[in-house]
Amino acid sequence: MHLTKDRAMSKSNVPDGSEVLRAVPLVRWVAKKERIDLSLVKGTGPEGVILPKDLERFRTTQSAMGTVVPTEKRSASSLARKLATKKGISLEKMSGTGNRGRIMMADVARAVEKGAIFLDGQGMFGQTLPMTQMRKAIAKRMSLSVFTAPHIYFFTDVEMDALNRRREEILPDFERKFRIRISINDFFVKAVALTLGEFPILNSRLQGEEIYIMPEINVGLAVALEEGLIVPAILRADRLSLAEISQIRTDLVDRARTRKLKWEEIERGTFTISSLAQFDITFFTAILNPPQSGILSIGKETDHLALREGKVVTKKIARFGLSVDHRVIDGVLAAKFLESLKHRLENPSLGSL
Amino acid sequence: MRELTYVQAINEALKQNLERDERVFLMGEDIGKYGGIYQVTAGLLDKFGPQRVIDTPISESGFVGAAIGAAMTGMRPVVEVMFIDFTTCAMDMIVNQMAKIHYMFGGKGKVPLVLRANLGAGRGTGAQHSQSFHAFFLHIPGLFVVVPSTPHEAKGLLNTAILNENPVLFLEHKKLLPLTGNVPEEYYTIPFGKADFKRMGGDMTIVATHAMVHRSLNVAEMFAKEGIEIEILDPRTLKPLDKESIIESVKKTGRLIVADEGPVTCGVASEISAMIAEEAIEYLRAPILRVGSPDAPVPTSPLLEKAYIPDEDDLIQAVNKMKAFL
Repeated sequence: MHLTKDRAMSKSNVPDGSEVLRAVPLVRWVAKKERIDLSLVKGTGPEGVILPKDLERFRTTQSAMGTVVPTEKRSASSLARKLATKKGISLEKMSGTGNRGRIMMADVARAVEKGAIFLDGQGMFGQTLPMTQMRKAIAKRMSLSVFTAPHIYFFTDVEMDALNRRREEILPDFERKFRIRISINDFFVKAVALTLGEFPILNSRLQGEEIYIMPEINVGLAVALEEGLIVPAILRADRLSLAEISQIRTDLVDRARTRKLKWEEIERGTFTISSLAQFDITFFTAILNPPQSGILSIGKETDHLALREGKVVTKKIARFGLSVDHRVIDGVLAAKFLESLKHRLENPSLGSL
Repeated sequence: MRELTYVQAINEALKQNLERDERVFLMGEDIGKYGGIYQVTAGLLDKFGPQRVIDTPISESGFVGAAIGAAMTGMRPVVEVMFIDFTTCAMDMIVNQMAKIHYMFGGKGKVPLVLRANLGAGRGTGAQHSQSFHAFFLHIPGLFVVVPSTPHEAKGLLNTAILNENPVLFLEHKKLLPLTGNVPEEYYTIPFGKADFKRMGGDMTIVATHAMVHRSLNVAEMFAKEGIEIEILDPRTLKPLDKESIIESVKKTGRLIVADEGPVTCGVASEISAMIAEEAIEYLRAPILRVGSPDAPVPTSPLLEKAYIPDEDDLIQAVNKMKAFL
């Protein structure tokens, strides 16, 4: 034995006993330069050391899931910075055409030429905007979904009155007991998870010529960000209480907005819910989030007149859309799924919600 | 091209220098009649006579000191100390005189002296004749340290050493003495401070000296079959050290193993590792690994000696460890 022991490979001993993040120097250097939070990167080296290839994979998946490098953290070539300083323009909102959105001197030159005005909408007409890395990633994933998975769409009207009442009833209790504010979305997550339990095929993905039914029901919730869209998923939502769902959902959404999600929190999704209920949108169709086989789209609630026991009453109606991959799921099954979900949501008192 | 052994290449360099420059002369124990412990100076006494090939008493401090005086007064002595282990007897001469005279006399005196010695284990010569403590001399400002790994380099670097105006430790490796290789007949020099890329590769770098160069080459061929390409860099002179080439290679591969036969603690490999940690850490994709001798005297028992010597097995172990970071 003439090999020296290297400490980098022995367990780190921090006084409080916690594990220190371990990465090879090149990784630390790059992460510092590009302001990448290494705690989000999974290391595959000996004893979990983060290797350059892990960082590379992280960056690829980040751009694949549409995360954009926050503008204030944008990287730029030194020539670009020099020129921008000279011309007195900010790099913050400039589009970069370099690797991973890096701002190159040509980008600054172009911005200068155009009076650096394509930021606030004024003067955008007739301009050519380079695609950001995030835009490119979304373009790629959505095209992949549309061009490989034949989508079929189903719509149904869901009466929301009972669910809204139920929420009102339990809201103060939950706020007092768990200090959480139950959102209507938490009910949707729970109802979808339970319904997926009944229809496992909606919780599947196509793998070559086989349909793989995912072992866990992880319900993803599309979160809109200023620059794009991200879908963190709630692990095993079918086994969680409403309070747990609410807690996890709050945390995931918060971290989505601060871009602190871990890759596995996004990758694990098996079904997606996309809601535009806060907008004046009656209904819409959603594109599947590959490789998932189903996505639920939820429009706003509207007042509808309905005839009940000979009387005209108003009902809150939300229009639900379901998109499924027709290679895996046929119409009747999709219809039954949507029917079952509707039934669950309209009858929260049946005990499931 | 003609092939010579490492010993013959050095012998030829000495012969050519004795012919070219009348200021050159040789001194050492048993270098004349006997031809040197490993026959490096064989035949030179007969050719050049006892004025220029001088057998000395067994007194390293005495004859190294005499050589320093000769060098200061215009000669170009090439002194053989039979084993590097015996330089300890002449340490005052080497460290306090040879290395410092040029500095202490404000550049007015100089010591163009070459001190030859062999190092390395593997010939059963025991704890007092097998050491590789060449790192000692790296610690002394004022000395050049040369570590040739092939016959071609031995001749070219010795020629450069004899031309040098300052003291040079020219260190031969015992296990390389019988090694054969192409050596030009004519006189040629190889510059100091210029490393040689012995093998190109992109996955990891082994900086190796002396016999470790050849051991590394063997190991690199084995791993090439797995698709792992190892770059092997031979510094050839440890002082001056070709930092640029080492950094260039580390920038490319991001993974560094330093292999030198000396004890690892405070050794050549430690110095090169520290240099990279200071100057190129941002390129490292893995911890730096050192391969060298353990902190123990060299054993005489052949079995123990084999276990002691850093060899292919140790290099394989290091490469396997490094592989986890690929």
